[in-house]
Amino acid sequence: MTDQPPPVVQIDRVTKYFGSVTAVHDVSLDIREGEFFSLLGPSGCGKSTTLRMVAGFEEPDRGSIAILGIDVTDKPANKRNANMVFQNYELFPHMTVHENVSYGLKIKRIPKGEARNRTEAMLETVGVGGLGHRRASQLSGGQQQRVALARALVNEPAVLLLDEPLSALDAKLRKRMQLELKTIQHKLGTTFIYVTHDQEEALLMSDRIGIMSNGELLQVGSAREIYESPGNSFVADFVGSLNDFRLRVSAVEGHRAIARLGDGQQVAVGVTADTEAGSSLRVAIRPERVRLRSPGDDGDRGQRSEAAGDAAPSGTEDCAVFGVVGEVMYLGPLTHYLVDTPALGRLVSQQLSERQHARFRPGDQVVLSWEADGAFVLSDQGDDDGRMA
Amino acid sequence: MTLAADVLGPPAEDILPPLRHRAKARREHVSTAMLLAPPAIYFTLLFVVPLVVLLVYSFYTYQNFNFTAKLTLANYTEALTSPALRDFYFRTLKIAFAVSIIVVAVSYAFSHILMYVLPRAKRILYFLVLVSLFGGYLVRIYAWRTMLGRDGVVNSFLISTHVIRSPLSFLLNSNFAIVIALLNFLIPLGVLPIFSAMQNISPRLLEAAEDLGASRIRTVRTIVLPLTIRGIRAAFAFCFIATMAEWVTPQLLGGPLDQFVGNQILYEFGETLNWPLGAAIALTLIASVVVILGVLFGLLRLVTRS
Amino acid sequence: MSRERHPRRRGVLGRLTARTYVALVIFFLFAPLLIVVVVSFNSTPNMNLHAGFSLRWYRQIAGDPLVVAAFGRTALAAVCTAVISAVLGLSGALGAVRLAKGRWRTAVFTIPLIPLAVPALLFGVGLATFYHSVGVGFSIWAVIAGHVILALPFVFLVMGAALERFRFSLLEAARDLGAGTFTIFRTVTMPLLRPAVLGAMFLSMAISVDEFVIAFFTAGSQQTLPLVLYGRINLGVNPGLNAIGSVLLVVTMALAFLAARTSVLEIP
Repeated sequence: MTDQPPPVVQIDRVTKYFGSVTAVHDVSLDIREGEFFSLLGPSGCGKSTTLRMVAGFEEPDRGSIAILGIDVTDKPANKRNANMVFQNYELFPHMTVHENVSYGLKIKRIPKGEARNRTEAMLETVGVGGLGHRRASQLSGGQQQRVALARALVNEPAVLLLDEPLSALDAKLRKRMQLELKTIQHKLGTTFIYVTHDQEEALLMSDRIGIMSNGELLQVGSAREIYESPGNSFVADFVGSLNDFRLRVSAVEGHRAIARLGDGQQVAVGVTADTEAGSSLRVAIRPERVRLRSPGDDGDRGQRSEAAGDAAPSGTEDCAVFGVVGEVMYLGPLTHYLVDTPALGRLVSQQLSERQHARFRPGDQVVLSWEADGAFVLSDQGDDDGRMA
Repeated sequence: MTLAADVLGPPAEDILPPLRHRAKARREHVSTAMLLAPPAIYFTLLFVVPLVVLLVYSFYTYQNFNFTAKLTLANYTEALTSPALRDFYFRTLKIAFAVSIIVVAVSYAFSHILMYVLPRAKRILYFLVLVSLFGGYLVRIYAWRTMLGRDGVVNSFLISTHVIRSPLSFLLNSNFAIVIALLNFLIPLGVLPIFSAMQNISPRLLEAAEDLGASRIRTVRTIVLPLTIRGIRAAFAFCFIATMAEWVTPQLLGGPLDQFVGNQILYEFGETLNWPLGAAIALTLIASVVVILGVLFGLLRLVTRS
Repeated sequence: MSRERHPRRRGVLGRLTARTYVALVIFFLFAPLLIVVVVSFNSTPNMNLHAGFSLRWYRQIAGDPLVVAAFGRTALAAVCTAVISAVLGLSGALGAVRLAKGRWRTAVFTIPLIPLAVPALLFGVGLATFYHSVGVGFSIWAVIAGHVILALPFVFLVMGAALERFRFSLLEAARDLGAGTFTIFRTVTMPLLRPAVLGAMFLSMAISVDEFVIAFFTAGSQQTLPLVLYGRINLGVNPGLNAIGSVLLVVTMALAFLAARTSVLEIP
């Protein structure tokens, strides 16, 4: 992060207590200009409190917050160059849409004509042009959402704060608004800080994501980094689903650790160089990285065709684990196979659905495999439910 | 690896930044206090202080249509031992009990019918009762004179329909007139708490009771009554207090022998100018009301618990 | 307790009894009010119900300087009571809802209701002795000061209920858009609370117009309309009284109705 433009929002070692509860613990975070940043975590993790501290509704007990390089920790919300889109919109019920959106401009004493033009342009941008004379109560949920967005954006804030803005919408409208939010953000180039508990939403929309749990910021990274290389088991588990198990390393070959599981089974996992043979690792793999084939059938693996006839892995293959299909779950575009393996317990494999029928049926013998760098090692902090293998 | 660099969270031995002053929290406390202060000051000055002053005056010494700040218990001795006052007191007490019981009974039946027998009309009927609350206290009392007098509406009606031959004289200047007038403006105040208590009972609860085979009477006795006891208590207490401290109704509708304690208080304040004694009577009256209600509700709790 | 006896199947007779009972109670409540109004339009001075319609008693009281002056004082008292109690009540309620749930908050919401349980007689003589002790003479202003105490519980109840329903996050939204404390109050808080404030004011006015006991003890020579009515009742029956009574009735009821219209009296 060296040659980046200066951050729009700098959260520096902020801590917030509510009575004896630590709502936010020592969080530091830089938000870059023009980025769509999501704070993701379960409810009560401190993400909303963090956002509200940036907005100025809560006072940090420790640390400081700066917007555009200016320390605003002691400034009230009305003196900050940040605007918020509230979870329940909080449109003023006694005003029309136009009055709602121009409220901030009026307070800034923007000349009437200019205020009107900016308001109308913004209503157009968010897709509710022509509804200016309606009352907030006469709008649908989606329309209220757009007006709330316009009311904040029309002030041209340095950063727009969004507190679970889509959580009150139904699933379909929500999907549409996700895309539109992203489009609007692109068009205006405004920096967004977006709080959500919906990992799919965060992955879809964000340039970067910060994962929070119990008041702590656990990991910051792009969607791909968070998903493919989660820093610890909480992040891995919270974002996407996961197979995890414990392995004893039999051998280390460069950045690959091999664990032999008997009966000719073995698995591989990408590791850092300091891993030693004989050590125990907690390993996780995403369901979509787990491949399935019938014993003795290598054909559908295409490029990796091996000498067939024997299910045992040959020396060049990363891994192979035997299992029996337990359940098959059809989810439309995808099918989940729940496979019971004697060596690693129940693993989930996610495959694209076939058109006619599932490739495997419950009770089928299968061989599971994955690329070594598809699996990753979880840091071991604070959990003990890993299975030894 | 970017991963390692971006995983945040300081090492455990790291010292957190210093605690900040909670300027905003303190500012908010101050403004809350500033909002509460005006009504609190007003309330203290014009409600609490006057009652305290009344208490102080009740210990003053009265002599020759004047009173001095010499403290004495004589007023309380007088208030508690005077046979004349005792008569006033028990007369008032008797009527207060009668009126409160009738108000509770009438209001309870009325609320019950509104809730469970004529539910479709309950909004409009309840509204009517509320409106009648604002019907004018003095105007009503006066109206009963028009109604109950010798040549009043009731007598004229009864004579013209040949129910009676000569006008009934007990209608006005009697306990009857007092009770009727009191009922007239206290029933709405009885309906208010009882109806709202019934309103708070979930209909599901009653359905459940019926479903379990309880009869209507039994449902009322075992579910509705216990759940509306607070409303009944409030209605009773309100009527009881109001009647005990009443003086306008007996003065305008009662005979010379039907006067309440309140009339005696008024007499001390207005005629003899013996304010200390008037204050002592007023305060003993209120104290006795509090004690009576306390004992009554205590007994009620014992009964309902067993 | 036979299971078949379903309460829904109450007999026709039962329903008829219930209707009759309700009708009788309502009739009992309104009969005196109707009589006053009807008689006030009577052309004869007695209670003859068969006399003709006439406005003579209204003309009579309109030409009576004492009644007119009392009417003016009653109106003054009503308006002042409404304004003062609304300001105090709004301030107190706004402060009270900021308190965290707990003993303090309960106390702040309960204490203003105490005057409801204190008989007017006690408060009236208390107020009179208080004025006497500090050397304040009896006047319409002394009455107003007392009426505010009587109105405050109602104002507080109405405001408290409105504020319980109030979305305080709207104030955050306004602050977020740059509004300062006073601007927020002017542009968001006040417009949204206006119905409650107006309703509370109408209610206070109705209470003040109708109030007799406090006025009796503290008005001195500056009589309000109920006091004039009382004085004349003691002098003997006079049909003009029915006109005064009707005016009082119509004014209080109209005010109560306005209060209800501004959605203050919650009717289930």
